[in-house]
Amino acid sequence: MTSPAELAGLPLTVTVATALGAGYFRRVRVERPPVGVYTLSDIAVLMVAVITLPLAYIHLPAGVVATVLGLMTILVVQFTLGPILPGRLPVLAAVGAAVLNVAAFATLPGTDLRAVTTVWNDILLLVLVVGVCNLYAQSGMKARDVAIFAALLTGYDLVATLFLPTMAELLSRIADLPFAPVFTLGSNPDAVVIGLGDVLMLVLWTLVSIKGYGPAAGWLAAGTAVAVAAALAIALGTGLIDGVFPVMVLAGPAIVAEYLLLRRRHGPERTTAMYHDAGLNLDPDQALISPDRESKKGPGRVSSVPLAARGPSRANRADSQ
Amino acid sequence: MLGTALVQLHHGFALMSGRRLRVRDVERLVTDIAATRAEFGSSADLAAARGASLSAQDRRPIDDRRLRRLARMAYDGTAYYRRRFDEAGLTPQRLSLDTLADLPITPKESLRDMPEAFVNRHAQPCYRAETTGTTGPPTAVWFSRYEADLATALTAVSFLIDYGLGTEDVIQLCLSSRATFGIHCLTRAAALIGAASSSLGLVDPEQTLSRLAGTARLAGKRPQPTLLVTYSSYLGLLVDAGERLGHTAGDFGLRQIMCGGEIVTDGLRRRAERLFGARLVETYGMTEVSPANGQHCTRGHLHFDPEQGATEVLSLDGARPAMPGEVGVLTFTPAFPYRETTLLLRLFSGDVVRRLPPGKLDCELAGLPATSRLLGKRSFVRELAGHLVTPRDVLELVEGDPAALLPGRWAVEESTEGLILYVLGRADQAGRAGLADRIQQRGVEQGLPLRRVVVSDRPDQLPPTTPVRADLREPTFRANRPDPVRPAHCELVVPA
Repeated sequence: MTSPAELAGLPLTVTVATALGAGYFRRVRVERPPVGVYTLSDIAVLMVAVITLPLAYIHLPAGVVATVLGLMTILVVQFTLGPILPGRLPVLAAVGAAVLNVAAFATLPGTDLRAVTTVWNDILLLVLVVGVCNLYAQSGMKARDVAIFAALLTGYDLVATLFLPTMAELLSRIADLPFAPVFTLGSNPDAVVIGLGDVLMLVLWTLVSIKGYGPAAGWLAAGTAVAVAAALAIALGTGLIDGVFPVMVLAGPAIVAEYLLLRRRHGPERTTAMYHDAGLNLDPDQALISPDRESKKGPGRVSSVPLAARGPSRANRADSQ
Repeated sequence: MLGTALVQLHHGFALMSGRRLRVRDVERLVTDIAATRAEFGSSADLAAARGASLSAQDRRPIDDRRLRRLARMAYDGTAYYRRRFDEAGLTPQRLSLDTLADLPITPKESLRDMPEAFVNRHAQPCYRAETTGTTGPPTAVWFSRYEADLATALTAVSFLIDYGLGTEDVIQLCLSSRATFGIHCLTRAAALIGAASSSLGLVDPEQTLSRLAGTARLAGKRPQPTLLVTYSSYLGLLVDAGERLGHTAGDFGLRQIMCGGEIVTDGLRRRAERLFGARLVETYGMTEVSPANGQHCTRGHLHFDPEQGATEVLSLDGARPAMPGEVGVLTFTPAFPYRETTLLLRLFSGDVVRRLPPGKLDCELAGLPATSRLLGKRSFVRELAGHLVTPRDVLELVEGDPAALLPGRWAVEESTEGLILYVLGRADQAGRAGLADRIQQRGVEQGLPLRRVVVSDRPDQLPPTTPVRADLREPTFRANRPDPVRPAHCELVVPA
């Protein structure tokens, strides 16, 4: 029987993830590649990865899967903490956190402290969500791209969860591994879980909404994320949902609908440059990283002066005479 | 993003392995940079990255490999270098940056006298580019379509990163109409980034000023040219004419002026930036070694990217490397894959610079090797009483005076008591008054062995002055008819 606390953990996790992600987005500037923006072809590549990786995880040995997940966790945690902690601390923190995770999984299950393993893993996943979402959003991923991605994921999640055994097999395969990409909201075998990817999409949508359409859109997106999580919690608590459920079937259409609404009301979304110029992020001097920002007018531009006649300025000509 | 990363990986692999570049990779880079700027508003990160480079030590194996490949191509494919290698008893496979000095320099005269002897027989030459020939008969250089397309794409990258140009910009070229290769690359590069361009040639400065001050309402474009590309001497003509006609910065929409081909003096820069209200960017390049070029940093150094080839500074006689602080001649070996048609090893360019003293540079391009700014042509360098006088020394004196006629036209004669400097001055006495004394005084303050300064408004009273590209004036049929005056804010009225 799922306890109310565990059920409440679902919207709480999404709330915390969204708040952390948005706070990081506002205060920290990640280092993006100097050239390149996200395009729809990148979404296609991500979709291919989403489809193939679970199949790989199901068929690879558990040790290999855990190692791959562990290395990815270290990389992303180090990347996320990089702008915040000085020197080698990000690397040390990432490796230390990973080692702790492995040690906890190796020693604590079966003891009274087994809950520590899931809590620690969830904390690492929160850091992952914050880092990955900010990397995407701050590297120029658009609200349009996320909405299209969400639509594609809706179809995939529906098929892979309800019509194919993919998601169920994946969950049973990785749930007890260290670095498992699922938030586990309890320590009993029937604890509520929500996938890392689902939380990631909800947080990413919030960030790109803020960037593309402003704070109000961000609040709407965040509210939708919490509402989806709350609806899932209620459905689980009342027995409406039993077993594995494709979260994107709820979240995806909500994201798409919001995007269409924002597009209709506000037109094309802002670029990252417009977002920065709108002053909605913190002053660069207060950011934990403040890369130099060139004036949008371009190098060395002289202030524009009203055009005059094609000949010399009449006032000056009169003066010279 | 991922596609960009793959293209850059492929491009980087081609560079590291010394293979021919894929032009569409560079063109894709242009598109990606433009998209990045559209999204993020600037390419400052890229501009900073261009100042970085592998360390000389890390680059050495790559550069040696590319040099050997170039040497093999030159030996196998060109009559000139097959003979030179055989005469020197060298084999291409043994050539390296350390042994490059064993290969004799290639005088510019050799390229000028027999350009086809330098053309790789395995290449497909398409363009015959000629230099303007201001200091002698023009030199012909053959390029292939690949080289032209690559130079165009690299120019487009520079437009985006170094000049911050975009689709709304309008580029006005004022170059010799015979500089077809350069004009071809510049106009196509403009098209690649979506900017507009127009080539006017070296016509009367009044016509050019009229074009720069005029407006043309095109959707998505600035109404006036935003970038002027021209030679220093022609810019001087424009500045002089513009000041005379009473123009001010408000008449123009220029943001930047790309100026090169000749010495750019501080005096010219000051007056040009004041007149046009635009930033002057000094460039350095030679048709013979294109697309290799030099970049100026804010500290006044001239930097060369080893990626595009080896650059040496040799003594004025070309016999040895110049010592730190010594004046020497730039000597280029443009690298494959940037060059495959007219192959040049150790081209003794005749362009004089000063080798910088040893020590770490602190400019934004510190990662690239550097020299002083261009000091002039070797043939115009004078040595008197142990003092080396370069054309820049003289031109800075002449053009540094705010009343000087631009471009500075000068000649020097040596006497036992020092140099006699002849300067072409303005037609009116008031314009010439005091100029000779001021130039003389500044020259003495700078330690130049100036005996006398003569200013005259009559060219026939002066010794032949140094030729300038502005003299390559191109007549037009409109020379005797002034352009009709058009109101500045004329709107096109579309009939109902």
